[in-house]
Amino acid sequence: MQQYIARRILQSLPIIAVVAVITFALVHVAPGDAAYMLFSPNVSVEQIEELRRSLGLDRPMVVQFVDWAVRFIRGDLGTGLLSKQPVLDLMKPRLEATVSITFWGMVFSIVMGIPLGMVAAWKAHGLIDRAVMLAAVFGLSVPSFWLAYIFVWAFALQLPWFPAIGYTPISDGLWPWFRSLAMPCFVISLHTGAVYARMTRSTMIEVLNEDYVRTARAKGLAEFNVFVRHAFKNASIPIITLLGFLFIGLITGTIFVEIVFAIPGLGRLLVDAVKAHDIPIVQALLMLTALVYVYVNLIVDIIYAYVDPRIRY
Amino acid sequence: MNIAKRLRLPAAAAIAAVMLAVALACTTETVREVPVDRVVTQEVVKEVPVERVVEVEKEVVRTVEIEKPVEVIKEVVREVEVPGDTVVVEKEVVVEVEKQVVVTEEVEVEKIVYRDPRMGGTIRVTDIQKQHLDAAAPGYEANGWSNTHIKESTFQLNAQYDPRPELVESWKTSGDGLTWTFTLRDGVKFHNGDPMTAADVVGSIKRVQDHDGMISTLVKDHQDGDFDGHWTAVDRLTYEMALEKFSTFVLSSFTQPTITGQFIVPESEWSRPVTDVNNDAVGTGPFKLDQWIPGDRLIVSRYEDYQSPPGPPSWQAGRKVAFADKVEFIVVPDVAAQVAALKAGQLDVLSTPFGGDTADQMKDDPNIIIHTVRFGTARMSIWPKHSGEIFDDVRARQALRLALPSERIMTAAYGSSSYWRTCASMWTCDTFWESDVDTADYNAQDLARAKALIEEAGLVGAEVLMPVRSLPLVSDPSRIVREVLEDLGMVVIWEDLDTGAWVERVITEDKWDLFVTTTSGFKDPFIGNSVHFKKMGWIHDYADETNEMTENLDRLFSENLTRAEQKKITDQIQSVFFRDLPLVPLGEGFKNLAVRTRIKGYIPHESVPMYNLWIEDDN
Repeated sequence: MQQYIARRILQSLPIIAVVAVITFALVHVAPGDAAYMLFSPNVSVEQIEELRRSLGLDRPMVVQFVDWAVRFIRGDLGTGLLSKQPVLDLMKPRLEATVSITFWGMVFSIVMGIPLGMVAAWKAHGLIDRAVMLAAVFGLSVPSFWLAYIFVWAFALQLPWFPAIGYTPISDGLWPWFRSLAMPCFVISLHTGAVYARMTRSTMIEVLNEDYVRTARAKGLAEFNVFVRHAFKNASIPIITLLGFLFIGLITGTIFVEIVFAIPGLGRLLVDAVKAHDIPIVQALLMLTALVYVYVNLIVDIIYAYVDPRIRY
Repeated sequence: MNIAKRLRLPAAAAIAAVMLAVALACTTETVREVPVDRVVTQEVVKEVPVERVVEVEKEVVRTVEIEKPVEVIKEVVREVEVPGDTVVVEKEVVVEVEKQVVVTEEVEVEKIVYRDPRMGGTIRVTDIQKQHLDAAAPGYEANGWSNTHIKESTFQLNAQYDPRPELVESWKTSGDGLTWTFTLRDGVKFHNGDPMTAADVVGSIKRVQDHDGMISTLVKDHQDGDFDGHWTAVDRLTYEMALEKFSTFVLSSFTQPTITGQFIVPESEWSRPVTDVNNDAVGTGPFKLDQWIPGDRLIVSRYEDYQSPPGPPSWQAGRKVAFADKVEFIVVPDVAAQVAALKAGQLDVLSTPFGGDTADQMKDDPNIIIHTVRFGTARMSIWPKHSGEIFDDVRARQALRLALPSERIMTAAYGSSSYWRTCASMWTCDTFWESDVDTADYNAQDLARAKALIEEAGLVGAEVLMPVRSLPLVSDPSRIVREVLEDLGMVVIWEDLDTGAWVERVITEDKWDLFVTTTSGFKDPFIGNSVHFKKMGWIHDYADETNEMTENLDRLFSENLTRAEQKKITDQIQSVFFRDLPLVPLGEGFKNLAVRTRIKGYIPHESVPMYNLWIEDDN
């Protein structure tokens, strides 16, 4: 297993390198750069060119990339071109918000999706199943940003239960922290919860038709035990696979809730950096995303082996 | 089976934790009983001492200019050439009658009583994304409003756009108006504890000289481009400024007409090159920087050692009191979220731009007051490229002026007609400088005449490169402009771009022909854009071929004239403007501001500072 993990980590390096090259190239191919963002009637074209030189943006793209890559390998993510703040310092206060949204988004998705999927499978093709699947289709179809506005109207303005905007750090208390996250996380989890419900239902229906489930029932086991111990356990591999994708989808998909609920997370930092052509921030965040993608998949593979002893690497 | 056993305990724990969290989330009855804004208010009341009444004298100064005939005795020396290379000098004494302008000031004093102002609490206000906090660095203009709470200038504009002393206590000029001596207020300290000195003023202004439009025009046109040779720190509190040529906009140069960085900063900032952006934000203002989280918020708190300028408060000038303990300038990118947060009491003031439709959503809320500010408007215009092969022809620009439907375009940008006005004048409407000279063709919507001009210029089928910023304020009007151009027989090559890419296009010679944008307009000849107008070629290569515009601007900025004479010149400038059309004006958009009723002392203007405001605990 250790050899497998080491091999996977080594395999991730070329992936990270490719991501780095592609994102760097894409940011440069787009017209404009950070210096142009500072343009105004008071600033002459000559001053902008001087600023481009001072920011190193007039150098050839390859030189800029090598310079960035060398510093990245040394652990230096650089500084924001415009704010002059170290990228790490910009990311630190935002990491908590994004991780918190992702965490509660996953919790809500799992808590909603898996039980509903199981119930739907249990009552497959019946009224409950259809109701659950209708809800799942609703969750998949309704635009999350629209739902976010509806929730703000309902639960921040009409019923002032939750704050309309903002993020409260966990250091200010668990309840304020959770209150600030409840609405955005619920909104973001509706879509992923619906995916989970459909996935759980179809996997469970498939497993429930297996011989060993029939045997378990024939032994006279209680239906709950049949469901949880026999069927769900064996249906969990695809669900765990989905868990990895869910985590990645949430951590990279928090952008719209961060904007609608004015939460200062990594998603907003990325959007702002892309708009401002602030390459060091864009690069650092995309590297982070690539690393998360690679290593979450690795963790999922390791969990496979833990859940199903037949799987060995 | 082993796996199931191993999974059972953590799974049960996880489910229990989730159920507990969900139960907590659903247990909201106590919250329902106490509205959120009430909780905030209670915190305010607990924390703050109460100052009952503050009386402020409001001084209304009216400048009256009276023209009086004066006898002036002049000695005229004539050189007369006489055959045989002999020059005879004749002296003659002439008595002429000239006009002398006597300026008197009428001062009218009235008392404003701030009823029950409260010290304390936190005001939360929206702000736009800032790239940095350095007032002298490029890109500051769009980001600087919150910084005006931290830093101060030598002079500041009052509500009538007249410069009033801020860090300066007194000043005098020589008889010819070429030497200015300024004395600073004693005892003013920067937030880092250093005393503010004349050297700081000279250093700060020097650092900003290339970037600030007005200072750069002053140095370039009136000091022969030589800053060091014309600015001297005489002693700790006195500095001198010498001019080579008389200037009519000296004092307004030192104010912040467009929130340009005319701030006085300590040596730690002004000694750095302007490309070395400084985010320390140390000033002398009523609030000091607590924390800046780029892209999220800037938090300032009351500066206890603050030394306020004297005089009645009037917009950015006069007395400043930091009633609030803290002000949080929060970036809320989504306008709908801003509205929700204001309604929920999480924000106190919306200071960032929002349209008429958004204002309409809030107007029925009893806890919110909407102000639509009709001065300090945004001028929407079309900027044609004068050096290209299409709009270098004045007939093409005249055709645009004739064809464009101003009302439709302004509605697309600002919504209901309560939030904008058409304005035929080059100078901002409803100001002293507004003029109806040569405005006949404005908003004529005469497509036939416009088409005839385009045909005459041979521009039917011409391809117009039109870069458009992806902002509804300009992209929606741009669509109508595109329709009109196509109606005139032109082919529009439209590009949707983000701001950085758009700028790259419009400063590159062959990547654009025309774009739609908003500016702060020309509200006063001696402030902001009007001075910048002198170097109008900055983006679209306008060539003043007859030199009339340049000569008139030179006279306006360099001659000691009466207001009536200045008005005549601005009328002449307008005449040239509408003949040449360096840009094609469309209309003026008003600025909307929204504030919760618990915020008191709020006097709407084009921007409203958060000092002199306090929080009342009634909602």
